[in-house]
Amino acid sequence: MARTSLTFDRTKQRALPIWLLILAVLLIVARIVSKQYPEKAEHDLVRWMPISQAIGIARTTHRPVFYEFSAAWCGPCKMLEREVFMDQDLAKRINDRFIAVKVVDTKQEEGRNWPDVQALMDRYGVNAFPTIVIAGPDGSVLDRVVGYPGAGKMAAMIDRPR
Amino acid sequence: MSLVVVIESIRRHFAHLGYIAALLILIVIVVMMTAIGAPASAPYALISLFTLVAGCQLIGPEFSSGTLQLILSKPVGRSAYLTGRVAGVVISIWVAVASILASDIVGRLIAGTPIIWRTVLWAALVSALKVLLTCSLLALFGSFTRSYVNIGIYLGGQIVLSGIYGLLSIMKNAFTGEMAAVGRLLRAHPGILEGYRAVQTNLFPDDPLIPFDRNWILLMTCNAVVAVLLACVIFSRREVPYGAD
Amino acid sequence: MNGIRVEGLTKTYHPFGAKRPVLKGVDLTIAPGEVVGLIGPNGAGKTTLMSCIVGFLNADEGTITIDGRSNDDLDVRRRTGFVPERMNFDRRANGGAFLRYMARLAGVPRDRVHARVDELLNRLGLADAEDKRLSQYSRGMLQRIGMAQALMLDPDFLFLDEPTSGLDPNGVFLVRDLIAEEKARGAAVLLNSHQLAEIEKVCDRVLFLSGGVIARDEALREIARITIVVTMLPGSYDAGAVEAAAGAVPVNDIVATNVTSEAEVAQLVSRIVSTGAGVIDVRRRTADLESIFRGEA
Repeated sequence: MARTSLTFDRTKQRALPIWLLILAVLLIVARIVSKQYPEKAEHDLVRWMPISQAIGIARTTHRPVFYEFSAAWCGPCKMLEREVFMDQDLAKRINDRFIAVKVVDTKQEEGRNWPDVQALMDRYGVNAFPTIVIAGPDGSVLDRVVGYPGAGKMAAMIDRPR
Repeated sequence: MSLVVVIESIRRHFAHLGYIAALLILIVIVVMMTAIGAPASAPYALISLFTLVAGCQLIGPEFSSGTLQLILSKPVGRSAYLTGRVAGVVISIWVAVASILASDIVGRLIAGTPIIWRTVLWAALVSALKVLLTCSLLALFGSFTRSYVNIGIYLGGQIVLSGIYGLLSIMKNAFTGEMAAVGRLLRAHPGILEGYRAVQTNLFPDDPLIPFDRNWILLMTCNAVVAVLLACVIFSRREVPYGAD
Repeated sequence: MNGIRVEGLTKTYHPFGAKRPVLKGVDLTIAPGEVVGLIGPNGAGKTTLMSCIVGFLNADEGTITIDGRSNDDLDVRRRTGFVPERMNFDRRANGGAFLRYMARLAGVPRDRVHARVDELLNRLGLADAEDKRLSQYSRGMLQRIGMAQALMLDPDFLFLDEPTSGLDPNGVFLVRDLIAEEKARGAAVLLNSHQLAEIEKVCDRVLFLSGGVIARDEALREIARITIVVTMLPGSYDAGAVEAAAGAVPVNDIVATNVTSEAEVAQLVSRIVSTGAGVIDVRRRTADLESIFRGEA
């Protein structure tokens, strides 16, 4: 009697509810299993910042900038959007670690680009889509990938310590 | 779970004039909000206040006031009592959530704005699950403290955890200065920050990003159940000294 | 039904890392139908002991069995009544609502709840206060409602902590009658009190808790312990003859001796009278609690 041990004996006042234990175990298992099958979003979950504000925010928050150069007609860009930017997990990590900026080339549709769009494309030598450039707040290139390398490689790039 | 305790908890809430008054005011506010087109989740912001006020009564203050000794001298299991209290409080607040849902729908019907059932129902479900988790955590914190310390731990914990996370994030990007050493450590072992974030999001989860997110629903229910189970374990062994305060 | 049995109960408090032993191996038994009083100086551990027996505190060592079962057994709880010293319950509830909640918690069948609560309210003289809030109850009323909730299921084991403190004489008589009724029903009663006079009137046995153990265990009503005190008219007796008749030396015209039965009382008085002594007073003396308390007896 001296030690108060845990008991499920329902005739005792200190009994623990076994139904609650079973429920907890079931839910933990369900959570683990369910995490293997994440829900897909219906829209882009990345918080895109306007080009003009991006650098300023990057400097104050000490975060690198994640530039995504794309165009409306680019197929792989759509795959990138669907598999990375609509993925809860990856989108969250992008939002947490970077200031994300979407740079859209409109040369084909309108014949020319906005000045700041063109300036960025010139600065980073972008001539294919999609191109991802990760830049420090000072503008220096930390990482770069041309074309969509797949969700796995994108994840590795996002997680790389900077 | 003791049904007597559940019913008594609910009865006590609705016998409280303040609760009824708050509920009525809430309904009026919601109808007005939806009539002018506020987003679906906006009315539920007030529920968190409701939850804190109702949930802080769980266990902690009963320990200090001597109520628990009387209860425990009766043939009621300790865990049956605790789960009954949590259920009673949660159900009482869910009545408020349901009232908001109803008022939301009524408000939209009056204003003639379209009702997107998916969004409206999801907002209500999110609110209901947040109530469940918050009350479960308050029960857990109350199971080993006295008086209103449980709510202090809840609010303080939320603030402190998020503050530390912000600090750690900044330190992670520090390359020079006093924080450089910490920054190096954090960069070399990203697991530290991830582990910390995991603890934080399990206690105080972010709002879900997509509607009817199965993983978020499981996160909330699982954590609530585990919290109540832990509370039962702690409470079953706890000494309830007579003449506590 | 067996009663309450405690063996080797040890309890140490640990305030801020220090060690403060309170109970150091307490043994006691209370049989059904026995009323046992617990006395001792403040801080002796009376409340601790009662709390351990009822199950509010966890003893470090020792065993507690109530009717042969663990004190944590729900069936034992069903047969236990506990009256706290101070009633501290939801002040907004009214007396009737509070008792009905207690009744339901105790497991009184739903259709019997109202009847039982009314019965108890009447028995404790609280029928008029049923609709009053607990916050408006006087000290005495709170004490009585505390008793009411304990008696809900006609308990076989009754624990009372300072049941008469703060009560007016009527309240004290009521509690005394209630305890007598419960004793007659065969309940085992343990009561904690500072009121030595009350203990003497109500209890069969008294336990004196001191130094963490039961230092004294006095039976107050054992016939074998009747002490008869005979007062004689000064100068009317021969000391030697009286001593031979009573088996004790007269001091200050008073001779006190123990007898084992009521019949012996009559024989003793008769023997003393036949020595020629003028007997002017014969009375019983129960074990003097005050002297026990002061450590003199």
